[in-house]
Amino acid sequence: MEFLSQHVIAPTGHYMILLEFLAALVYVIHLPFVGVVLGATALSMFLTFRDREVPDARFARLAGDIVETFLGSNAALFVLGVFPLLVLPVVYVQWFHGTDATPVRYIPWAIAPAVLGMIFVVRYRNSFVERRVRYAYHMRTGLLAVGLLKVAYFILLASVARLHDPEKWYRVKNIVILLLNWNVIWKFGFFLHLAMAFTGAAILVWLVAMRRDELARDPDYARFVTRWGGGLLVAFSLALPVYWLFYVFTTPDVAFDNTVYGLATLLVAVGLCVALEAVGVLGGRDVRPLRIVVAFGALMVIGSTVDLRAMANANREHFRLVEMEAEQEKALRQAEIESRMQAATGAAGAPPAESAPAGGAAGTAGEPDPALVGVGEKLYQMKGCMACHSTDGTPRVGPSFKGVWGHPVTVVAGGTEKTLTVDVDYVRRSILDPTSEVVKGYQPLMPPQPLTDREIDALVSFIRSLGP
Amino acid sequence: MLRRIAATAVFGYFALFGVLILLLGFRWNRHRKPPMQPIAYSHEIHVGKLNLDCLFCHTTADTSTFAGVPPVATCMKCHETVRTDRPEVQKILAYWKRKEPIPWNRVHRIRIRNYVYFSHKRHVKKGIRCQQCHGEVRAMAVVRAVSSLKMGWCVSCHRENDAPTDCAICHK
Repeated sequence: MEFLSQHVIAPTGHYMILLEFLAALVYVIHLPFVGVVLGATALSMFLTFRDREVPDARFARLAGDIVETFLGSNAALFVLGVFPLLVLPVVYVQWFHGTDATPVRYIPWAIAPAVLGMIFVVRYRNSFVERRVRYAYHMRTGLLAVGLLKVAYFILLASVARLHDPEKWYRVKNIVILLLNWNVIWKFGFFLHLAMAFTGAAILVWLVAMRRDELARDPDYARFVTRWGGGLLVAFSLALPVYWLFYVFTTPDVAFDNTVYGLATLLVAVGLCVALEAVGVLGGRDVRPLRIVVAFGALMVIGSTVDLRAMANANREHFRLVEMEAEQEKALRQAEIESRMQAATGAAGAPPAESAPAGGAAGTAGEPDPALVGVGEKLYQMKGCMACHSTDGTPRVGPSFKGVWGHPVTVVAGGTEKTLTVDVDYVRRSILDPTSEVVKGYQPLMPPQPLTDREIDALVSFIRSLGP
Repeated sequence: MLRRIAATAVFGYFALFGVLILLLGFRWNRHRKPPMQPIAYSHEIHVGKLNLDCLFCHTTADTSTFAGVPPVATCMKCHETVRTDRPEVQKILAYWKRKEPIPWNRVHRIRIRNYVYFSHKRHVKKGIRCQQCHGEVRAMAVVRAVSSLKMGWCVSCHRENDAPTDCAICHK
C-alpha cells in the first residue's frame, strides 16, 4: 500500500471524473458477478443437502445446472471475479492521493480472502461430481468458499462505506473497529440480499428463458426452476427497499445532497419493476429476460452512482484540495513550457535560457530569465497577488509592481521609517513576512505567502520585467 | 385475481419506502443542508487562493470565547478598492452604505446551550488548529458544519489529547 502511495500523482478535476467512472464500472461488472457466484454456491449447497436428506431428482438436477452454468468457467471466475478487485485499491489510493485516509488502507485486505474464496469455489465445483461419495469434503469446500468470499466483501464494503464519514476516521484504529459501524453492517447485509436477488434473476434468465426448448420437454422441472428463481427474486427484492431506507438513515449527513435522495427514490422505483416482474413470473407469465437484465443493470448503475456521489460529497473538501494542488502544478508546468518556447523562438542567436544559472534572477545585473518571467506572471495571477498589486502603476490595497525594481522606497518597520532599495532580499522578505517592512502609506494587511524559493525567483523575475 | 392483489401489495410496499426516503430528503433539506448565505462569500478564494489567515477576519478567536463573525468593516479593508465591479462585492458595499450588518446564517444550527462553556481562546492558545474542528474551510465554497459538536465528540478529543474530562471543565 505504501508502494502505491509513492506512485500516485494529484489528480485534476477531469481525472477525478474518470476515476469515478472506473470505480462505477468495476462495481457494475464485479459485484453482480460475485453476488451470483456467492448465491449459486450457497444455493447449490442447500439443494445438494436437501437431495441427500430427502432424495429428489429435481433438486439434484437444479443443483447440477446451477453449478455448471454459474460456476462452470474458470476464466470467468478469475477475469470477472478477481481482476476487477485489483483495480479498486489503485483507484481509491489515487482518489485520496495516498493512504492517509484510514479506511483506504484496509481495501487491499479484501484481496487475499477473495482470491482464496474463488480457489475454493473452483474446488467446490470440481468436487460436485463426487458429491455423493465425498459429501463432507464437498460441503466443507463450499462452506469455506462462501465464508471467505463473505469475509472479503465485508472488509471491502466496510472500507468503502467508512469513507463516507471522515469525522470518524480517527477512531478506526484496527480492522474490528472498521467493521463495527451501522452504515457498514447495513451495506454488507444489502450486498448479501442483492446477491440472492441476483441469483434468482440469473436462474430466471439463464436456466429458464435461455433453455426454454429443453425445459418444454419436462414441464414439471420447468415449473420447479421457475418457482425457485421467481421465489428468490420476489423474496430478496422485497428486502432491498428496507436497505435503501437504512442507507439514507445511517449514512452521515455530509454525504447527502438532493441528487443522492433523488437517485435513492429512483432505485426504489427500479426495485419495484424487478419485484413486479418476479410476481408476474410466479403468476405464470413467461420470463422476459431482457427486462430483467436491463432492470438489474439500471439497479447497479444507479446504485453505484449514488454511493460514489455520496462518498465524493462527504470528502468534497479533501478532493477540492487535491484538485487545486494538481491544477496549480499543471498551470505552472504549462507556463514554463510556453515561455521557454517563446524565449527560444524570440531570441535567435542569444544564449539559450537554460544556460543561465538557476538563481540567475537573484542578481540585479543582466536581463531576467524570460522563462522565469512567464512562470512568475502565472504565479502573480494564481496566488492572488493581482488582487492588491497592479502592473500598470495604479496603487490598490498594496503598491503597484510597475517600475519599482531597483528604486528606493520608504518603508515603515516596527514604527520607524527607513529607506531601502527594492531588490531580491526585500521582495523575498515581503512575501514571507509581509508586515515587517510595509511601504509607507499602505496598511500592514498582506498575509504571509508560503512560497518556495523557485516560486519567489520566478516572481522576482516577473517584477524585474516590469521595468526599473 | 390473486396475481393482481399480489402486484398491488408489492406496489404499495415499494411506494411506502419511496415516500419515506423522500420524506427523509425533505427533512434533510430543512434541517441538515448547509445554509445559504446572503452573500456568496467563498472561503475557497480568500483562504485557499489568497492565503488569508483565519484570524485575519475572525479576529477574536485567540482572545475571546467567541471566534467572531467579522463586521462589514473587515470586508471593507480590502473591498473598498478591490474587485468593486463584482455583483457580490457590490452587495457588501450596499450593506456598508446602509450601515447594516450582513445577516449571515449560522452554520452550526445547534441551540446555544447555556450550561456548556466552550472557549475558542483556550483551544487556539493550546495550539489546536482551526481545521481540526471546522474542517478544511479553505476548500469550501459554501461552508458546512464538519463536526457534530456533540458531547461525545468533545470528550473523545479531550481524552486523545490528555485534556481534562471533569464535568466541571465544560459544565458550570
